[in-house]
Amino acid sequence: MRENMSAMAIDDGAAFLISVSMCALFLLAGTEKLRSRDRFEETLRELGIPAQLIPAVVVSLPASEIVVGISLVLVPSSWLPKIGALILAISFAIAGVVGMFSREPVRCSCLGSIGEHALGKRQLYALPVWLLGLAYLEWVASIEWTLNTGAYYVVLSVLTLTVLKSTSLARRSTAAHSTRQAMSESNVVRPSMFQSIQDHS
Amino acid sequence: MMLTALICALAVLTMVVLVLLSAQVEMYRNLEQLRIQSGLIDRAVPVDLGESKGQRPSSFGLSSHLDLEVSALVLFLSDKCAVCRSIIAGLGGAVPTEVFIVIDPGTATRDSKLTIGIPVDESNALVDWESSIGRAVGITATPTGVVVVNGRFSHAATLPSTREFFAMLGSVKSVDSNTHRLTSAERKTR
Repeated sequence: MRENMSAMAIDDGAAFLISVSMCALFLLAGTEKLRSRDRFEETLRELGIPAQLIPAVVVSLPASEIVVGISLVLVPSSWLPKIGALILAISFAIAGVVGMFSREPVRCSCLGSIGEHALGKRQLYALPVWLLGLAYLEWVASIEWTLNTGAYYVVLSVLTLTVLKSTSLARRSTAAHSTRQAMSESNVVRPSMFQSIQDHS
Repeated sequence: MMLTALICALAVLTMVVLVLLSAQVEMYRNLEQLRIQSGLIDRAVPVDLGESKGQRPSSFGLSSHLDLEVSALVLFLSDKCAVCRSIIAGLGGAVPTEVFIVIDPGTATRDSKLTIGIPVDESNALVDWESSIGRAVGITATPTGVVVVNGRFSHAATLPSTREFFAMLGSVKSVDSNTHRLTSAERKTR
């Protein structure tokens, strides 16, 4: 009896982690794509999406990523968000295949402006991982919680992303500060110097 | 109901914060790219030592104790360069034991006082009055650091800032602390 309970707890924990991770990933991908639409638009063009469809896809795909991500955690027992995630995962894999066979490498805007990878094998290899995760959520450990609890977990996912982003920001800010400090002591000729020379002459 | 509304508001707020942070990260990335493009980046550039590589420092007129050091840094500074003065100021008046300073006086004569504020002590610094040492080693820019490993010139790099100088000094010190430092008795026997 106790063994059964601990196995269930492990299953539930794993399911919780999978759904929260998927939610965080979809939220990050969606918001980043929406934020750097130009780059995503370019990727869609390189993938051969008809020009008249691009303005709609540029907004609808990231929006559906956000909706699917939130729904996966908000209503974990529903099959609808899982179908949505499956469709998205398959479309990413198709984009990967198209990228692999295109003449020029297609820049992956999977996470908006984060990373400089080209579309290809990564997206293809990610498909079985998505499928396994979704299958686990549907058949192995079907988790259920109230809407309020789900909302808490959505907040938790976004907060985790925010904390990660803050650390990245802090790192870059420190690097920029050091470079700025170093430049102020260096003897590199700067435009302001030319200005002061001209003023004197 | 109230609680649900609050949670939703919190979710929206954190999303907004996330987007703002992402935008700021991208701004820093753009700034870094601009600095790299315009050469305004604080980065040490390797200097080719040519034939000096692998030679003993004493054969160029530098102190013979450098030949016996496991790891040391020969710092080529100029009397007229701002970064050189910053590096000296950063040392706080004390030259680390691993550092040997070679000062290029520029246009200063032997009678005039150097503007670079360092007491020239034979054990850790010298003034290269004819610029012959720098020329012989192959140093054309200051400040430049030349690393000595096992008593031989190993590699060199320009030092565009005190930050880069301390980074190079740190690497020299780490080699030194990992290796047995020669005692004065051992130096004599070698």
